[in-house]
Amino acid sequence: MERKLLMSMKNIVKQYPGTLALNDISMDIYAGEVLGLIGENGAGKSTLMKIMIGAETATSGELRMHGKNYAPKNPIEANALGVGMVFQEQSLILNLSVAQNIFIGREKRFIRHGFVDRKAMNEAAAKVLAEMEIPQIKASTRVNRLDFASRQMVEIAKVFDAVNGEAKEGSVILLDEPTSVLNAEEIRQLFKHVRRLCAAGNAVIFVSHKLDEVMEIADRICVFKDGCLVREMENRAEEVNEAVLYEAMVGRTASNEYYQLGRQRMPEETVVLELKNLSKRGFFADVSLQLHRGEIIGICGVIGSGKEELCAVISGDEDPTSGEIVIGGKVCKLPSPHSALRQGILSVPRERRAGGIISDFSAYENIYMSNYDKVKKNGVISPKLAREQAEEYRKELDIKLPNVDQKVGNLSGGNAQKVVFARVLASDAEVLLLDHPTRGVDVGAKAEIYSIIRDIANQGKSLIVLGDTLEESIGLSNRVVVMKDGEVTRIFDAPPEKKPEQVDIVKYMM
Amino acid sequence: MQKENSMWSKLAFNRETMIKLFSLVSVIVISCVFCVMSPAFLSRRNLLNILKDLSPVLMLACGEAFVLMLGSIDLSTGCIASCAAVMLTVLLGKIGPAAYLVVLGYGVFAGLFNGVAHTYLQIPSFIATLSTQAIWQSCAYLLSGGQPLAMLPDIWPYVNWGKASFFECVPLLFVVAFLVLLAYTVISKYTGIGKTVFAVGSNERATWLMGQNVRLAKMLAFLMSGLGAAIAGIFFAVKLKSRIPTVGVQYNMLGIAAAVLGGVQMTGGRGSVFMTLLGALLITIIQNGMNVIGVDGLWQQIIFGALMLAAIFMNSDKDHKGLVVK
Repeated sequence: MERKLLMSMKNIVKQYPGTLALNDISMDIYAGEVLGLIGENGAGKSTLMKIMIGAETATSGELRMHGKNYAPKNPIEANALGVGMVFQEQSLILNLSVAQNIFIGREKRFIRHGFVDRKAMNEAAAKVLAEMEIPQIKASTRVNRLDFASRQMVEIAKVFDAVNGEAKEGSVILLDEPTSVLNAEEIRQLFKHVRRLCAAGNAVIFVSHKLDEVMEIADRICVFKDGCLVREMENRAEEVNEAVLYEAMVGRTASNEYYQLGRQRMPEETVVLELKNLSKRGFFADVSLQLHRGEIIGICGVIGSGKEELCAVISGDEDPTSGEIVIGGKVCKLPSPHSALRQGILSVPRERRAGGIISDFSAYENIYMSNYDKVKKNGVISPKLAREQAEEYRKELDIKLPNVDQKVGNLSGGNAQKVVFARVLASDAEVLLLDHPTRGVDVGAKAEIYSIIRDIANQGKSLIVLGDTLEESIGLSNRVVVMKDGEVTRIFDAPPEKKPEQVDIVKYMM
Repeated sequence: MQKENSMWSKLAFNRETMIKLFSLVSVIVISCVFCVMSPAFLSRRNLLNILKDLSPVLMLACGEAFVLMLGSIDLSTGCIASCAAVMLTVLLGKIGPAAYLVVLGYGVFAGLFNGVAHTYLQIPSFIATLSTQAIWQSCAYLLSGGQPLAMLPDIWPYVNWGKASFFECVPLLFVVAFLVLLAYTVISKYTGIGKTVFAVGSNERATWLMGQNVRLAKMLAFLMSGLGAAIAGIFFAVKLKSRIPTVGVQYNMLGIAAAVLGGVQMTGGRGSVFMTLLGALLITIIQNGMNVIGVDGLWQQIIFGALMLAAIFMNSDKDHKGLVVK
């Protein structure tokens, strides 16, 4: 069958400082098809979508839409050219009505005598909603009165209309995890709309972590890994099943050298931290876990599995709704990271610039920020002691700094992260929570950070690691805890000689 | 991203030194101008006056600097000073020198009150301190009976120290103010909690995650501001030997301006408590000089308003934060 080409991408590359987010992607999108896009977090799916919608520009490569060069500067331009996206995080404005949201930025056609004609706008919105078969949602309702599923439907209606209304010859619509807040019936509805749209000559790109949904709706499936398009296949029942997809997503196996498995030790018997039925309503439930002295536990799970919130609760950043945290045999309440630090728990946050460093401060000041006592002399902070301490860590961790008075705002990702690790080491905390410790760090510095992590564990400290990749979590850990929808689904032992397979772990994640 | 960041921080650094330089140059230039216009400006007597007038401004400014460093603002300092001044004159007649302690205690209380409102009740500092400003202004009126009144001679012995001076040009008031300034500087630069104040102003989220006690640091900043204001109030009372319920009103702005002219960034995180001395000096010289050459007091406010705007414009951080006051 001859298919009409809607959009084509040739050799798309996206380079961020320190990371190659997309490596030479070429892809065609045809009218009337649903294209499923899958891959681990950070595989490059979101970056590709952002480029398609005009929120980012590719470093190199070419996009064509309807045979013409396509380079939108922003999502509004992309809409006009026939590409629309439903974002994972909802983008509706809560204090405006459904109709105002649907036509936001496109109010021109309702203007009469210089004012927006609300009535005409509501009528037009009602028509859109009826077309989407969600007439139960009133166009004049304020969005904050709707439940999440309805909001999602409105969002989809908005994008469908924006794109359909303006492009004449077939549009491309991107759905980023559209089903995460929908129930089974709503998902069925959504799929019906997707098929209707495709039948009308449009194309839909469907990104989801839920493989069963992708297999149900997609005509073709593309698998991303580490910024590359690793597999492209027709969705035929005889060829495609979940195992095949997992295999493609996970790809190569971990190299033992990289994670210094030779230095992985058996943890001691002593339990330093115990979680007893810890829950946070809406995020995770009944998590029970023991962390031993010298142990590294990796927690795996997709976004929304609750692993991040679990980490936030242990570090004192957020409060649990029920359950206990036992530290050294004592039940503790951790209302703030300050109180957690006093119990010996400190986190390395994922967003380094927002949460890990103070960019106005010099390196030596940053290093003492989690422990003033070490650099005090006669009760006041001694800049001399502080510089000496920083100098020691600079050598020990090989931080590339011209001098310790350098402000950390100017450092590269890897060096800034080493400053964070220096601070964590200086804090004397016994339990460390590492949330994506190698995010935005280049390959060389990554290896050094793994080495630091091994040193820390071998000094008898205990760590909980949320790896940047699955491979990392497995490679570093003594045990791997898998979470799905807020529950621990499985705990794997991960001794150096017998690391669990990624494929087995992914099964419990999705 | 990386390049952009380093460029911005360099610019911001220049801006910080630039304003200090501006203040320093201004102090010298303006002093010269006033000297030429009136030889009396450089007289020993006038120097004494300048340092006396400087002292309360300095106290308000170095306290305010703590709050500005957080990225917050304290609009109540002027009225706390007024209330403290009135309170001192009233209490000296009743309980003697112990009144000084009570007034200092009042300053701590007023500061903590602001701190609780901002930190625990989560009221934006602008609104919280605007409200307490009204409260303390009313208290000042009520305590004073609503009118300015000279101190009765029987309490003069308790306030005569305000007239003492060294070499007839360095008043004791200024020496006290300078010692307080040193103490404030040490607290801000060399104690953990002082560092935390800076850190909160620069990146509150990171400071929280680093395990620092963010709330305590905020409370401290407001406490220092309230205490500084109360000391300023004591200075006003001692200097003027009378109770004037509105004595501090215009000084709130002057305190903020002095801190900003000393290089404190209104978005928080940058600046130095000690350098408020430079800002306070500039403001006092302008004020004093205008008095010496006989500029109408009504015109002076226009000058100060304009100066404040210029200072904040020069010092404003066009960086990532995009807001002036939290």
